[in-house]
Amino acid sequence: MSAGRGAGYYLRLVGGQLRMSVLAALQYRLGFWTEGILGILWSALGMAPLLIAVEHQGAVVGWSGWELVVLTGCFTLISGLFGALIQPALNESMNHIRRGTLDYVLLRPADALVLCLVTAFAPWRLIEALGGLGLIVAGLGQLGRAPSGLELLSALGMGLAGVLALYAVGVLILCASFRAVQLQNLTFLMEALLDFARWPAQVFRGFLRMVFTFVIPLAVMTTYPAEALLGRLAGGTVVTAMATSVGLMVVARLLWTRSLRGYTSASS
Amino acid sequence: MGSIASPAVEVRGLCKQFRVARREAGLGAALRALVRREYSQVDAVKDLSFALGAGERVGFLGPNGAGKTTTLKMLSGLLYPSSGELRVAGQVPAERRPEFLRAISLVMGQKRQLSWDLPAVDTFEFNRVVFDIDVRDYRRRLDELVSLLAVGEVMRRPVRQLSLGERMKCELVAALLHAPRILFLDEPTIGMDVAMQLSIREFVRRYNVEHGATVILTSHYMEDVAALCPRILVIDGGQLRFDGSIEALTRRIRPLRRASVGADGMPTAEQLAELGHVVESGAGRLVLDVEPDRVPAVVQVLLALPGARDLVVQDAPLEEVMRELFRREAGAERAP
Amino acid sequence: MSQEPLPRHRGGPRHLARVVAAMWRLGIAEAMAYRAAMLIWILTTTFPLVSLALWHSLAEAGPIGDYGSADFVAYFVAAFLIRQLTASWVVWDLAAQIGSGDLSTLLMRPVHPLLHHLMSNLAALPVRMLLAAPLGVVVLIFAGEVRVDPGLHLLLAPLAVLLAWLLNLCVQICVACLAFWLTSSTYLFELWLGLYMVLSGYAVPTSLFPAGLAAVVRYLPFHAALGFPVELTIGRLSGPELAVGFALQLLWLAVFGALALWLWRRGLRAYGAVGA
Repeated sequence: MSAGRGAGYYLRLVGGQLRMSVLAALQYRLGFWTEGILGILWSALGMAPLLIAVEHQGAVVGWSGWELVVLTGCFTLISGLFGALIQPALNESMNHIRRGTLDYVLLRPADALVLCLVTAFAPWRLIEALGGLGLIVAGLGQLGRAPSGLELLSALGMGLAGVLALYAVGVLILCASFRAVQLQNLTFLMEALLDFARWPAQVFRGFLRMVFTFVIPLAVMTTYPAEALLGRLAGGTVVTAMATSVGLMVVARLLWTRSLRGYTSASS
Repeated sequence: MGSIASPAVEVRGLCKQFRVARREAGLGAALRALVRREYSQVDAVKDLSFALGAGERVGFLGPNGAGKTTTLKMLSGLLYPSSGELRVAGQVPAERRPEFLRAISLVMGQKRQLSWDLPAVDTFEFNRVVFDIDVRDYRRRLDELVSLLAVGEVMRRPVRQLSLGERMKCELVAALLHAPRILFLDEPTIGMDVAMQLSIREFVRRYNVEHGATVILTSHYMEDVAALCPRILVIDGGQLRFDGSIEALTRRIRPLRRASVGADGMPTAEQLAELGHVVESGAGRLVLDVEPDRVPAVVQVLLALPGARDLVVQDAPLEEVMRELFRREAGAERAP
Repeated sequence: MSQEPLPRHRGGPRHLARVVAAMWRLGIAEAMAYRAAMLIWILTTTFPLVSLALWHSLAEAGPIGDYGSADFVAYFVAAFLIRQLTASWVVWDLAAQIGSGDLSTLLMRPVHPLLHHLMSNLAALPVRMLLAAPLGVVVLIFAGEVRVDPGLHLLLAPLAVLLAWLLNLCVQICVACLAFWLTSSTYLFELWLGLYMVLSGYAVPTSLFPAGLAAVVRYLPFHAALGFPVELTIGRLSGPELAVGFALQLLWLAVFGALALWLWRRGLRAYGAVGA
């Protein structure tokens, strides 16, 4: 019995889970294609309100057309990553909770939270993420802007912070669903709110701005990376954004540990 | 048999309470529930203590809701005990250490771990990765289990196409690939036909004998437990009512042996009273409950009956013993 | 030995009314039991209210099309409330029942399963309004300014809302019926929902679309299911526009209603053939 629970083991675990997800998805060919197409369609469709605003106003809260393209690219990238990595794992974990098969997940010799967060993938959604990357490049190209190394690093850091924040919020919802199965519907809430990350954070004022920066940090996910690429992001903001994500992760992990203690396991 | 010197499972004073929301029927109650929820406390397991040796085969028996499955889940680390001490394979299950999780396995008859859409062999491969099994060990164990359970062809078909019995066999393979030292089985044969039950029972017995894995079984089918488990723990109302062999339980609760014989002529009423307690007499068959030490004498009398045939002497069936046990417990509880 | 004939059951409108009343009560109780899901669903549909915050602040720089800040307030609060009143979840319930075979239990009852779903969704409406209306009022107070100009047209609003609700129900039944043949029909509904979010006026008033596109979009069933009743309620429609709107609602209702019934009948036959 090897003692090392190291990175190698977890990488193999993720790889194994990825393989299972792809194999299972290939069994349902229709779902496979519609999901892939849906992702892209939804992305494209979701741009409509923003496009309308631009058409009527020229610039939106100080963001010009091509700058908004960069923002939309950041959004599409994050949205693709969410759909490929976080959403499937959350849904599958909740299925497990409902069917009572979470027991088997918890019996595997690895960290239970990691197991839940890698329990399913939808790799075809990564096409969306690539599309987002394309938009970013196109937008920056049209603006004639080449971000410096530091700016690129900040952008990546902000993007990562955004993804981690999404994971954290997902875990909070998972913990809630231990308490009451109906609270699983919170994922719909999360996905609906995620849509507002398309807009520059400056559009929101006051209370909503607070919520979207610290509670469900949409601003962190899209506006900050875009601003970093456009050279407009202050160093202080980078720090607070990172801190917010880390804070959310800590809260999520603590709540998860508590939820496991109170786990009642659906009756047989 | 088991070795008490290094017990596989040690339980002392184990308790588990659940908080259950109380909900009544009716519109008024539903409205009230909107504002204020009432909870009541349920004692699922109360002060349980026992020890199991390595390599033992043990059965948990008890009515529904008795706390058997709750106990099993605490033993496997899924549920946190409310209080008490618990050690399985030398570890505290609730800590869920990887060494512990790789030493145990839980198979639930009513819930599956196999991926529904894929052939079982894909889940086996996945488990190999999850439990970090060396490839050669994996191949060897897979071949052994597959031939023991005869699922070579079945494991390549999508699980949703398999029958209940085939599925359970594949579940067993998936559960045993990592060579666990302790195997928990929760209602493994539920819903199966007799032939399949027999083959699963036989497999578990053989696996225990060949690999020395401790087996803990809960089942509603008395035949499973009677055939498989030399030792049983009777759990009712969350408490341990009996710990020992089935014979010992039977001796305690229903010590009388049941003798039945087919005959053309029946003894007289006085003669019958002498022999023992009559269960059934008539239509050419006589069934008596007899004191154990009187059995030889009674057998002689029965064999002397005209046209005596098909003499059978056996313990009272386990179902009746259990029923009697619970009846007595219920009576004891009702009495102050 | 001859058996006695089964007692003749007296059906008729009285019986039906009692059944409907019982279903209504059951529906309300169910709706309240699922209050957590309800609350979350309502929070989800705060989408239009966040949209309001967004467009309101955008409009501070100047009106967008013919919508000023005050107009947006009226529009999105109305959209929020009307979404509450016209939504249903038949698609998930029914598709799940078909997939799991639970539909069989419903089919055994002497009442049409679709009626059962209709009633339980209808019964959820009062509870939803109870939870949503205060929120709407709060937002109106917060926003301060609102421009509404309904006039007599407001009397027609309930009718438009009812038709929109029926239309949504029929669409959901259509998609749910696909579960008789497909395994993941709910995905198709999410596709509809995606289109709905943008094309119905949920995310942005359809009149703000670029001119040619707006004209096309306003003829689609999505707009009939939300945009039309909303604009009617806040008084943005002229007489002729009202007539066209109602005509479109009835047209789409007829289309999806007929499709729903047809799919249901075909689906039942397929369902029975498999012996689920």
